[in-house]
Amino acid sequence: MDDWDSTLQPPARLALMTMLTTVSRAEFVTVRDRLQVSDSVLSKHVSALAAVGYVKSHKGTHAGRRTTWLSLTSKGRSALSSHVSALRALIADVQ
Amino acid sequence: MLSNMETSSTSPTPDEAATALRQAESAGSALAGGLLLPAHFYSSIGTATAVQIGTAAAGIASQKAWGIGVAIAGVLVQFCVGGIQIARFRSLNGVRVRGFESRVVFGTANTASTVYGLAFGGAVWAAFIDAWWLVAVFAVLGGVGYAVGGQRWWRVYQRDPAGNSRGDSAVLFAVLLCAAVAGMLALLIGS
Repeated sequence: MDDWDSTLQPPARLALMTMLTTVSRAEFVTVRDRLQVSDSVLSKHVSALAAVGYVKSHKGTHAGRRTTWLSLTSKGRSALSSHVSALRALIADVQ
Repeated sequence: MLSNMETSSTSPTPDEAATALRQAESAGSALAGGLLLPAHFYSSIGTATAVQIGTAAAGIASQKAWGIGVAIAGVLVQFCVGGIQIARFRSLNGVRVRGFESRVVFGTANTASTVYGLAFGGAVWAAFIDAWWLVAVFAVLGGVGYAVGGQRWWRVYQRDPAGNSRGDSAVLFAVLLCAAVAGMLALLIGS
């Protein structure tokens, strides 16, 4: 599996990246609630994905309060596409 | 609950891969499928568009200085309503969808832009021949078509959110906006 990406192996990271393909950017709390994870768990996933340039986070305000927005980078979009293709190929091999 | 923090250098089994993909696709679909539009969204966008078409037609046909003010006021109404609805959408959902902003709110979806162009042209023509009832008809048709075009795009987005979430580029949007403003100014002061 040449394009299999170990950074995207945890299901939460794959789900997070997939969620971010459906929007331009999402609030940290929105993603946290959808994934049903804690702040610290999501922070660790976001940090890991940001470290390899797959996800961008930036501070902003929303309804008068400080918040963090998350978005997918073009590198992240490309990595996700390759990773998903590799997973589909793996599944197809045994069918 | 997807709290697995583990990473491994070994590739997943086919079962693990299938489960991870299913969960990820489900999460993406759930986010897009759960997005809500602000109350009275389409009616406000359609009404603002109708007002913009009507005021622009009246302003252009007047060929007077006040006409420029009327036309600009209509554009400002549409931009204000659009801006407020975008802010309400973000506040309601905690997300930003550029495709929604450009194609639904600012009308770059195919149906919306086509109907808008035809209605705008018809309203301007009607204003020049002083058929004000026809200006109103074209303005309403333009507003309704704009809103219906937005609804169509929203349904397309819901079916394939990943393929439609990205909107037009900022450069293209700026070029279209400049062209629209230049065209309107040319009509206002050119004849």
